[in-house]
Amino acid sequence: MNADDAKLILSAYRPDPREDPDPDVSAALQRAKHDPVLAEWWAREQAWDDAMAEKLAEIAPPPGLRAALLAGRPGRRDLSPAPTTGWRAVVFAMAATIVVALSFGVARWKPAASGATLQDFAVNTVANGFFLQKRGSDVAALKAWLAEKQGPIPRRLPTEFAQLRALGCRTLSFTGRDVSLVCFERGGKEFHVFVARRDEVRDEPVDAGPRFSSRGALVAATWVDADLQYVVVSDASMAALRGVL
Amino acid sequence: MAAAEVDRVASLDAATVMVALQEVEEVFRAPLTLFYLQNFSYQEIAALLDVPIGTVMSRISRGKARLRAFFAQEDGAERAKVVPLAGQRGLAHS
Repeated sequence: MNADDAKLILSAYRPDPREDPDPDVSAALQRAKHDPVLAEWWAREQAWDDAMAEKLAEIAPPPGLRAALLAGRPGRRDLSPAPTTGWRAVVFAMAATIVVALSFGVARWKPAASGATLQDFAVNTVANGFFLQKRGSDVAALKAWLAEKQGPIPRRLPTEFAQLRALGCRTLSFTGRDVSLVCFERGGKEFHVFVARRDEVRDEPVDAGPRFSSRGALVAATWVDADLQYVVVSDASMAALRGVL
Repeated sequence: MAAAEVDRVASLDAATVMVALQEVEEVFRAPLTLFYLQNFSYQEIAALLDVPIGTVMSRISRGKARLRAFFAQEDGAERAKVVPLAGQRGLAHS
């Protein structure tokens, strides 16, 4: 067994007093005892595993899930291969369900942003934090993705945005209406562009020219064109925001 | 693996780690979920998924590589940064 083989085995092994390791694991453990480099690697690997498990433990899984998984599996005691592929499908589905269910749990911890106006909603969304659903620097590809999701498409961004690096995009819902969000970056500062269809957003009237505002560390600008309303929120300075519009 | 990677995971919030887990292909996600979330051993995972132990080890190892790649991508500033605004209220229009 070489070091790479041992790493492959040890990366999936967690010392467990309940079980005797199989021969391959025993051989890998034996090698680690006499290979300081491998031992050091495995120590870090275990630390990484612990960090991952600890982080995910912050999201409590449904009580009794582990017992239910084990209790429901035929032949659990001898840990022999399951006799049907049907059970495998069930476990795969349950594993996926765990992740999805816990994801909803995370979403509940961080409620969706709200606001009286699109601008408030945009600022609150950035303040609360969010995840991009589509990552990439190709603006055309991001627009195509938004179109596929039926989101409003930011057709005419200020020309200066061509100088910014796109980070990604996502769709959001504001009072039940679709809002698209495209994020850009320059010099470590981010510019989040929210786009909504004017006829779908009950908002305070805005002029065609941008109206600027600030809240704490965030600055925002709002404007409209023929059928879309735009809000840009940034952690840059007001001067920097004005500079890209 | 650098020690910095451990610190990196420790500094993440649970939501980010969960998103990373969702980004991994299902074939890796199932064993990783059982490994991390339910504390199953590799032997139990092999039995539950009805695959050989070697396959479980390979999938966990490769799944971890996928997770690390995701975190590395996040470090590449492709994820929007959270700007905290605790305690601030109202927009001051200029």
